[in-house]
Amino acid sequence: MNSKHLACVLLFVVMCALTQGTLMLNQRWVTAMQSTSDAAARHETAMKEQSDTQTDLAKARNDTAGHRKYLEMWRQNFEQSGTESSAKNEFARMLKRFPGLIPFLSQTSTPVENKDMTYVNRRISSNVKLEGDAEKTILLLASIERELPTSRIAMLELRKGGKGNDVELDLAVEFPLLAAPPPAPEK
Amino acid sequence: MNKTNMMHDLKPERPELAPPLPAVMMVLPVLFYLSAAGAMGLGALFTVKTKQAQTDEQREMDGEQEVRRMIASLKQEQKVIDETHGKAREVEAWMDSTQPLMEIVSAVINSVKTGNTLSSLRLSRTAENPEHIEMRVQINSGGTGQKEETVQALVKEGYQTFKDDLITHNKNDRFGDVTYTATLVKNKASEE
Repeated sequence: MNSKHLACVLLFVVMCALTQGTLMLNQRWVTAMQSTSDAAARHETAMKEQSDTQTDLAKARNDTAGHRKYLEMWRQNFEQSGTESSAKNEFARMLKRFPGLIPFLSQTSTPVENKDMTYVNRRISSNVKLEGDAEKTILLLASIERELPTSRIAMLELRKGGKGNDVELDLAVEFPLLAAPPPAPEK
Repeated sequence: MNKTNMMHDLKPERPELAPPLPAVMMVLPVLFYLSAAGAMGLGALFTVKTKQAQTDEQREMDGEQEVRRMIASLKQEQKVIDETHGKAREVEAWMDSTQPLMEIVSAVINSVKTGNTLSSLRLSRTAENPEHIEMRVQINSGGTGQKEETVQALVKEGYQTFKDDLITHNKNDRFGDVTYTATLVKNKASEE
């Protein structure tokens, strides 16, 4: 091979290298463009998803506003008597306000589960048998329903009492118990 | 031939053996140089465009991540709203089940006519069906007449009675003692 042949071969190699290099750079550009296009499509999809989520959220906010306000209205009452001891105390305090009514049996059951409920998930029942003036007994019932609004009278039985205007009252009042809040994460 | 120029065709100095190539062939080296320059130019252009595309891609990816973060935050808020709504519905269900019994007690007591007496009034409801209130009234004297008065008073208060049952010891005695049991349901229209 003389120098002319060598020069031709080198020239050919240089041309091939230039062509390949250009093609490779072009391919990289095309790939990068494709990736950009994919990323833009993903971005657009995400933006649409965000818009849908935002619409759903606005709808949920709007649809549940009444209920959530209702919860805020009652939350304090529920939290106030939402534990076993506070429910018992409130009921005992109520009975003490009517000293003329003589309780001769008073007991509180163990909590039972409220079916299909996760927040107001249990209830306890306080039972009392008492005797006293009919008017005061009616007043006690009215006070329970007015001042312990979250309680539920599950059963009441009024019977004629032993003397005069007296009545006997069997009463079972249920109190809602709230689910214990999840434990705070350890720091 | 001492002349050197850009179009030199690498031919060594030697006597001409064959006639020279036609003049138009001089364009070949020109084309070569142009191709080389073009290849480098295109290479540079592609490199710049690739960098630009990569920058754009990064920007789109950052934008997507930002949007995803916002979506996660919106979903978190949605979850809180759903949980609160769930709690509210439970509270509402419980409150619906605490319908006061005092108005029934009052209606029954106020319906008792002078001279008639009740010996007991029992009201109860179950956790499963708290809107259904089971009532049992023992009328000592006044019989079915008093029972009718009591039912009328309850209807006025917006209650409907069903599963009624009347137990009487003497069917001929319209004013004797009777035990009346019924299930009471508050008429929704009367609540509004």
